Amino acid sequence: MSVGSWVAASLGAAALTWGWFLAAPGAATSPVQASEEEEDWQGMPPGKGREETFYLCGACHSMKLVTQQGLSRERWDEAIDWMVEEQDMPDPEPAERTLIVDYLAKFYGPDRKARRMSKE
Amino acid sequence: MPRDIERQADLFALYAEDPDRADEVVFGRVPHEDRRGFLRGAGLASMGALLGAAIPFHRNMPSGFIPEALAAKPFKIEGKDGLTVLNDRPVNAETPAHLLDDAVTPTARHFIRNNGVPPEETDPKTWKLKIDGLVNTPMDLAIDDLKKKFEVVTHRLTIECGGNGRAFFDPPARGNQWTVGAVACSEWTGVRLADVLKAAGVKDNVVYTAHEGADAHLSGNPDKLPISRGAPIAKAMNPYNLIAFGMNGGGLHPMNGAPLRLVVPGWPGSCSQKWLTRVWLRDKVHDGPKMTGTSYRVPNYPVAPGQKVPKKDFGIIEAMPVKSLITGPETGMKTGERKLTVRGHAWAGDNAVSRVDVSIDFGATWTRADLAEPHNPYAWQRWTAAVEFPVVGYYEVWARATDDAGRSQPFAIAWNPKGYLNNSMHRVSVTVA
Repeated sequence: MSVGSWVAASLGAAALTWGWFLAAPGAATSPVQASEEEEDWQGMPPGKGREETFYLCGACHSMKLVTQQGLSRERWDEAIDWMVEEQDMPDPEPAERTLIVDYLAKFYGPDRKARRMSKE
Repeated sequence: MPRDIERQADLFALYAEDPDRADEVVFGRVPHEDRRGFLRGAGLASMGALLGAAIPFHRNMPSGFIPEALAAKPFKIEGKDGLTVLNDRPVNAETPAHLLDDAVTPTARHFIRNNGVPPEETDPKTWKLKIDGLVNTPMDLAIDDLKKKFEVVTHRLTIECGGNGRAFFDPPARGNQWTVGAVACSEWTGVRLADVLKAAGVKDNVVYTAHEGADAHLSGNPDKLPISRGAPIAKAMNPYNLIAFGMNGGGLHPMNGAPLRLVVPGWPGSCSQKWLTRVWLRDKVHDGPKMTGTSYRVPNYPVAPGQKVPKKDFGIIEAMPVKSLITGPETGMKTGERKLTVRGHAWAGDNAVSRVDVSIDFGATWTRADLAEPHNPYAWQRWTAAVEFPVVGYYEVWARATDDAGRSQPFAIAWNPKGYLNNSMHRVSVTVA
């Protein structure tokens, strides 16, 4: 079975990433719409640079890859370099880059100890 | 907000916020006026489909109520059971230690480490593997050709992600924050990589293999491979490396590389290319994506936590270090019993494990565990130890394996910038009441 049909089968039958539900045609008009705004940020706290960060990083991968991390500003800056040099990410303008790195260093810095996936 | 950004809200969070609304969104369910049942059956079929069974007492079922069968697994990857999802795009998921207790890791419990987007077309009948580069006779092989031309063998093989244990690094290292569960020992069926390479004829100047798979780069650039790693030719010719088309008696799981993958046990999992389409032989160390820079590399000398290390001082990781896992009891156990049997697995890269010791007093004293021989080389080894807690209270059980070269697991992490090779001891907590 191809991965595509396998994913489709898992959607039809048993289940489910929640994202698939919300993205399903019927769900778009559901009453949950109001709270979707918050969920769309995938747990990223509000702050200057959140939107820029979300769109730059989220274009290729889930924000879970970002929100797991705890890096210094310098290491975040290196991560952006790596994404540009190795992973085909568009190079952000200097002002945008500053916004993004500041946001990441503020909310996902090395003092953040709760990175481990909680079992609760 | 773009619709294509997958949201992965937690079923619990949604139900906690507004259970009745969650009911309606998830299942299309509207309850009767007494807040039980399913008004005109709305949502009953979808909930039943999800559970895989009809609900005989549905009229009594309170509204805003997550069926226990679903509550246990808010995020489900079809064909996988109990995995902790670290990332959903690309999919990266590990298995809690207590779910790795089986001698042979069930397919449903084998961790997933994807670097890119898995291929859509995975028909084993049309799948082709190319063997080329510095060989006498380049080959294009269907999976049926592999089965016909080469001896088919089955081995239990340990695969561990090079970054398993990264979550415990301080300062943190960038990458998926694996705790302890990016390791598995499933039973793999396939042909020996060495037999296939010998049939193609390995030229004298070959230094390294290079592996390619059919997964796509996350950026969508069709000319870019998400990952292409390799191994020194001496390692590649080890008879326990398989080109595998079978897993635990069935086919490979789609997230574990169906229909064809390499299994290069004892080395970082990234050597075991999934959705395998090509093995080419080179006269230099392979320089594909995630072979270069600091990927799957550690400094050539010990460094202080947080130390900056120049790129030139990094070397490619080869064999994984000795390690063990406590698979029983589950951490957080509360018990009224003073006697307990502790159990788990131990493995050691290209080596075997020669002993495992267990401590219940923060490493002050140790008890030697019973250790089984590996089922075959590169299979993890079962160990068990009987411990007795002297008084009620909080304990930690620690396990420490030693390999046949005399190397033991450390207590502290040998910190390195990219968060690899954490083989520090696994600890579980037990409270005796």
